[in-house]
Amino acid sequence: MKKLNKRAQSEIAGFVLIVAIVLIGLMVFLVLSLKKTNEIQNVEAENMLSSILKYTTECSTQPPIMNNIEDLIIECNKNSICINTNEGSCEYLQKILNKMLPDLTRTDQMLSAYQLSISPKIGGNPNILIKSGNCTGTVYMTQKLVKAGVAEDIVLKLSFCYKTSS
Amino acid sequence: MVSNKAQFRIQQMAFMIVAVFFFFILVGVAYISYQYKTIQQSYQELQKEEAMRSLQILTNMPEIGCSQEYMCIDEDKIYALAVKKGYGNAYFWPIASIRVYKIYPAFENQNIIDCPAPNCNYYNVYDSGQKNVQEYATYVSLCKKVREGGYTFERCEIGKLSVGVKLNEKAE
Repeated sequence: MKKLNKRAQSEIAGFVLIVAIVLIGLMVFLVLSLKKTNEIQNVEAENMLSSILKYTTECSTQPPIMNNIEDLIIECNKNSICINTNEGSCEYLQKILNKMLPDLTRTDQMLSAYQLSISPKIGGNPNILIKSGNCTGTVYMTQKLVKAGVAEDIVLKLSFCYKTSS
Repeated sequence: MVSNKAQFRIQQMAFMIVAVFFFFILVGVAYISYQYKTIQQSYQELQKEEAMRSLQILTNMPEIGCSQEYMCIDEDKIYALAVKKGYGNAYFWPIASIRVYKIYPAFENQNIIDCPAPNCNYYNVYDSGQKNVQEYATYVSLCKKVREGGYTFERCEIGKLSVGVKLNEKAE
């Protein structure tokens, strides 16, 4: 009787061991697949951001020179005013980016979502955040630093997602 | 009796080993198929990345690019190329086609108006007429010198450069 009991115990121990090995294997597999970073640096995003920054606006903080978006970001940081339109540079920047991004992304049928954030380098919430759509898959992104003074660098981050092909 | 029991136990163990073996085989197959999918995805991304790099090289060409600017096309230069078609030979352009679309500011009517024309938004810089072509496109700055209010400066808009690459045809 005692011998039978011992045998049953070792059976249970064996079964538990097998279950433990299987669970460890599954956990390793899960950890490896979830650990993968979901954000990829992308050349297309880089090109898009670079052409956005070079776009010449109708705002001029120092007439007759027309500011491009990059200048406007710096001017927004200084709270300057567009002298020719009598409008705050930040309001103008927000307005133009809100109009520009949907127009740009409309040309790429595969884009499902996008987000552009302009925020101070050292912490803080984004000054400007424009986004549309919901991203589920891999995020393609690019980042650029705009020099707006020694301690006031601004970080621009553009990210977008493509529709997943079924 | 004891022998029968021992046989049964050996059989039980053998079944267990086979089951565990098949379980690991299944996990392995799932892992390999996941890896294969990831590799295929990376391959497609790398291919696209390579095409984008080629587009960057093209925009750096003095025939169409702005001077020392990243991903910038000189609109005056492509205007001249679209009008004259002087560079329209396959020996000069190592690709099947070059097209440039103005996309921002967007036009009220979304129609494509071939340049040169008033309010045009499309430059057909080069077209070899090849049929089996894969098109790659990317965002570029489209800049031209303008004079406004007695002051000359470079006004940049946003465009899309689309380049056609001839696909290799399968041998029959």
